[in-house]
Amino acid sequence: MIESTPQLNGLTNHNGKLRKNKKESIRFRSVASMCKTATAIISQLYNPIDTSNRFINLALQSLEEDSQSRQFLIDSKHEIRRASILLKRLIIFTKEMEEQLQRISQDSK
Amino acid sequence: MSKARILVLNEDRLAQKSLYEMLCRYGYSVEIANTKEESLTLLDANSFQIVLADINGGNCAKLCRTIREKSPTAQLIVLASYANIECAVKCIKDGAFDYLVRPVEDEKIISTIERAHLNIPPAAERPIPTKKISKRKDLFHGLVGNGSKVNGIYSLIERISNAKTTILLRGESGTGKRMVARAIHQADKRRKDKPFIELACGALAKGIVESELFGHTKGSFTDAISDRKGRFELAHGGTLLLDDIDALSLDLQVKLLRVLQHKEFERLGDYKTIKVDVRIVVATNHDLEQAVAEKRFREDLYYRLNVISITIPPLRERKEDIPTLVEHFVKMYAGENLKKVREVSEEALQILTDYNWPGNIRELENIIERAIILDTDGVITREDLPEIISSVSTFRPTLPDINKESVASLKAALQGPEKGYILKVLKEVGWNKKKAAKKLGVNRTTLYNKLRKYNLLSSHDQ
Repeated sequence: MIESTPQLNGLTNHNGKLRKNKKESIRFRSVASMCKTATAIISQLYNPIDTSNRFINLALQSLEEDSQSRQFLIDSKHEIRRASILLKRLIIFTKEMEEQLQRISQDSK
Repeated sequence: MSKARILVLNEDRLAQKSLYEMLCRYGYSVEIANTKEESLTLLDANSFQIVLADINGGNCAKLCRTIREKSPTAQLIVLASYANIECAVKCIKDGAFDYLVRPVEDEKIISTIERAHLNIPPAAERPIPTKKISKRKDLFHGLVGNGSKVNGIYSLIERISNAKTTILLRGESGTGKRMVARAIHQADKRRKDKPFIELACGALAKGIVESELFGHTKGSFTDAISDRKGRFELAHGGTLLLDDIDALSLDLQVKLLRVLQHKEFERLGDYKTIKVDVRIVVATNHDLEQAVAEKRFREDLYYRLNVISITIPPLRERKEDIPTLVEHFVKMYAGENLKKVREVSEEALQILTDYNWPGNIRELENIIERAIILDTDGVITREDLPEIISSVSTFRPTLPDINKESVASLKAALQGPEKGYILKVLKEVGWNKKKAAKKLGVNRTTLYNKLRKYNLLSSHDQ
């Protein structure tokens, strides 16, 4: 049986810190890559959102003022607007996250 | 103020379409570029007042700089997916007019375009953008142009240059059939130093054509006061171009067939058979198949002539060559008229490119000659061009020849009549798209799609 010595205790503590640092580093990198992916996805999502919005506008121009289809399209437009507001919030959040991660990475250097 | 000409750069197909439709409805003339490279090519070939570019995470500053360099007067509006202050500052510094963050409402885009358009200095305050007449030569045995269609012709001429076969040139009047025939002659190593003789069969009376082709001996007919060589003899060793071959009478067609098959003939009034080594190139601007069907042209002669057939596209189908052709004719006529014309304004070049050219290259050549003669300041501008070129749209629908093999499918065959019918309806309703769509039984978006497909928008909506 190995007796507990101050050197052995120190090594165990150091090993524990290394493992914790490694875990944190992995988490840090995961979050950073998630932020990047989210930004790319959001920027791609703007194309279908803009396009749908624009096509709805064009369709609205050729529909009768009080038709039911017109109301459907106006409702769709509101929903698209909601989706784009959510995306905008998400992109602000990911940008803030990216900035924080950048600061942490600079501080640790 | 006239509506701006806008270039939309967006890599997403549906986003392009939606922007195109929206801008067209506001009366703008719109071109689409799928990639940055394509946008630069379009900027080279056309003049745009506004460039609407979706940067989508790319190098925005570099794009702004490149667009500014290509088209200094164009106002660049950048569309970005998220607000990046650093990128926005760089874009504005590098010449962008505005930086819009998506989602962006159509009204915002339109108001920005209008502001950008007002920001363009009036023509008087800025130097007239011109294209310098370079000294380079884009000639292929005298042929001018470097578009894909003429390149196909060049490569065909190269391949057939040393063959002995007869060549049939087809093409509308003024497309340059004679020049192509000359290029075929020049490309033939064995014949290029020998005579190139031509005969316009349609321009002469029947009796004269026979005498011109085969020659005559003294006394063979009333006016034959001496022996005379025909074009076949004159072209011995070289090339003979028979233009308007469809105008040849049926009995002369038999004689021509014999020359084509046996390379021999007799002069009028002579029994002696003459053998010749001549490459024969025939040209027509009519439908020979139709003439065969109507028994106006011998079927056996048609098959003998139609060994290698080259169809020369009309100028409206090879507009990419217009700048090179303009450059060529400017150089040629400036030299002939002792004028120092060195530049053509971009506006004039745009007008020349937009025009439909029913008279093809011959018409372009005459217009340039006229402009050179009238020019006083060394730059060909809009004022040097005849009014009809810049003001009247002369769109002429081209219906596909369904007898040709080139029509691959029913869809392709129906495109011509569809285009013609849309045009007819549009003319009937005074180019009112809403009325036209109603009359055609399609919605306006479909109509706009079709107008764009058949390139009918730019010439009328400007």
